[in-house]
Amino acid sequence: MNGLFQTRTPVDSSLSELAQRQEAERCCQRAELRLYLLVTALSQGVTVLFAQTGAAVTWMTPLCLLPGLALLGLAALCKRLTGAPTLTEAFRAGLHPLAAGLWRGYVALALLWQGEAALTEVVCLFTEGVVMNISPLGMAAVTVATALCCCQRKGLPRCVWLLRYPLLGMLALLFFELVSNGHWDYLLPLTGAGDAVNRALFLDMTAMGWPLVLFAELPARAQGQRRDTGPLPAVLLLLVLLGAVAFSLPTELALTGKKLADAMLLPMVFLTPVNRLLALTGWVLGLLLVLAVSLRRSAALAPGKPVREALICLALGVALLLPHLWDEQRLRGLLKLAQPYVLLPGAALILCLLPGAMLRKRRRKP
Amino acid sequence: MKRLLLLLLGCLCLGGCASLPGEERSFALCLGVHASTSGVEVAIQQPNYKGDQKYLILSAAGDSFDEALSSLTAVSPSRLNFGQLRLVVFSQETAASADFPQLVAEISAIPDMRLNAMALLTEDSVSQLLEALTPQTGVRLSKYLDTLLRARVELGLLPGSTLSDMRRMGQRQSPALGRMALKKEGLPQDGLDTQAEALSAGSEGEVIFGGCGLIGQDGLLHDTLSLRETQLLTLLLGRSRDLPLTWEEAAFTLHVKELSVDWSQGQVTAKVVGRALMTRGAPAEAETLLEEDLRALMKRLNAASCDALGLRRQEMFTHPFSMGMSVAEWTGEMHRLQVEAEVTLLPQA
Repeated sequence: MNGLFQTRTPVDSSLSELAQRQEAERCCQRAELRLYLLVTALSQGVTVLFAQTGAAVTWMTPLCLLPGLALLGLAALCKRLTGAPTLTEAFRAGLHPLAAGLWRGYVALALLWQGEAALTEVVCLFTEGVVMNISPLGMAAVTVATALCCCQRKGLPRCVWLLRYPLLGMLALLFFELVSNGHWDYLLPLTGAGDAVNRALFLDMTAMGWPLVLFAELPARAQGQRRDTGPLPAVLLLLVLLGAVAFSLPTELALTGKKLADAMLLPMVFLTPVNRLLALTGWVLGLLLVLAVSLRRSAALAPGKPVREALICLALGVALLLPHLWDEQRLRGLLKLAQPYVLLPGAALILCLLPGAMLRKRRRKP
Repeated sequence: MKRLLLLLLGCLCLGGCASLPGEERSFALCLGVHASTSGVEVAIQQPNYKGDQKYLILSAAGDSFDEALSSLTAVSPSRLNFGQLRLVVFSQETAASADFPQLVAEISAIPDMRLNAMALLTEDSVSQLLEALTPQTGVRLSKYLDTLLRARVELGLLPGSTLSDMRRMGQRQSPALGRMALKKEGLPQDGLDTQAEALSAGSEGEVIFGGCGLIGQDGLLHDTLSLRETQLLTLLLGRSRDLPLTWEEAAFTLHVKELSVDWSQGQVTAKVVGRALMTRGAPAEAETLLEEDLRALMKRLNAASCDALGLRRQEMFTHPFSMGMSVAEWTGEMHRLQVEAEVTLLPQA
């Protein structure tokens, strides 16, 4: 199995071999972040936007991603101004090491919030929608245990990289069936459930694109390398998939998905049995990978060696599991309550960094 | 890495996990529902697993659909599963009652329900109908129904609406539901202008499929169509491409080349262009006959406020920012609609 990642391309020197290995690792990291962005945004798009405003999901999704994209743009600008390879380094260079610590803390908390949301969705999907005779805590424990087993430092991004074509193939199958079931009038009314609902939803969902800022942590491309498309493929795929979902169901039916499990299952209900099974397994797999990525990345933000990192990961997994001992509905309410504010601390930190980065650039000029 | 991949592949199987193996579940193939003022009667047909090609009929009653279904579950030999359902049969009395839309929503929401099951109407007792429904060829009932229903839809004798279609139409279209009935005595007198059961005197089998009932904008049954009208409806729905059509004056097989049903303010126009393989009469005569019958059909649809042709879908594009007309307003609009039909029959190449 190790042979999978052996360098097959002829190399001139050990230096170029190292560069190729670093580039391969970077590809895997980027694939991991793209999957993370796609699954989290798709999940919120289906369970919140589509379930509450129907056809308006087609234009509400890019609108709700805009704050995240704007922050990513600002983060990229800060990186360029400070000349730092990652955003954390930019904080260190442009402001203060303490600001870098604050940024890492913010990212870790946001990752854990997203991980808890993914865990709750898996539990809800199984206990309220698919099987119904499993206890929520038992399901949460199984999910966390599986996610922890996936939390290898290099294995997880490599696995996502390997799975990219099967996942894309599956999404293509689902897309074609959704489109073949569709009618153009299902994209109407363009305002969905109405302007008042859309306004309230936009304010609630500004954090939909928060995983976009994670791309700012990827090291900048080296000189002479191909231009990096960053999150663009994931964003386009997300828009296409949500568009297909909106194209396949009328708004009045979409608005009937009041419960989380109903809203998650609604786009799958009308698929053929084979595609429904594919969609369900893909959905569970995606949420599980999101949980694993959340755990691993938040653990990696704490300073330490791999063993210590694994222990932190385990502790975080247990911490995520504990709220499920409590009332599931109340947990969901709390997660939803925090949703509108997830992006705010990150935005504040990046806006503070911007003047610092400009000053740094001015100082570097002579 | 190997461990990780195995774990992830194991996760793929999570989606397919079910609480019980297949042998421990009762797979209903047909579901019959009759609702009246005295309550709801539910009947199912399922294999008896004895190898004698016979099927088990279970029925139960209750004040509501939920209660009747719970009673049915209680008398079922194992846990009920609707994942293999082929037919949902409603009595016409049920389809004409105010609870019908809610009943359809409740049936669609049953866990594991196969929404591709065809929805049909009947005038007869649903439990008697299910008892009489047995495969007439040496195949199992599910396969028999699949083949028979597909053939009926292709011949235009059933419109082929499923539970899934009914749910996904929302308020934008009305379904036309196929009909089934117990075989009646006597020989047919009126050809295709009559209901299907009257044609069945010499047929094999005790249950006959054909014709359709029109569901109005209010979600209730308003009218029924004869076999010929059902054929024309399936032609306009684009579900039959090669349709055998017969009148006293002309008979031909129509191969549809182009089809459009266009709504514009106050008028609906159906245009059909096709090749006709004439077996009796002249093409010009056939065109006139077909145009007349299409006009009459569209008038009947509008009178029953049955938007089976999806005219409201077209109307929605005139106001893309809102749902526009209410159900009552659209019903009024349908009653006022003028109808036009243009048929062009091309000579055989």
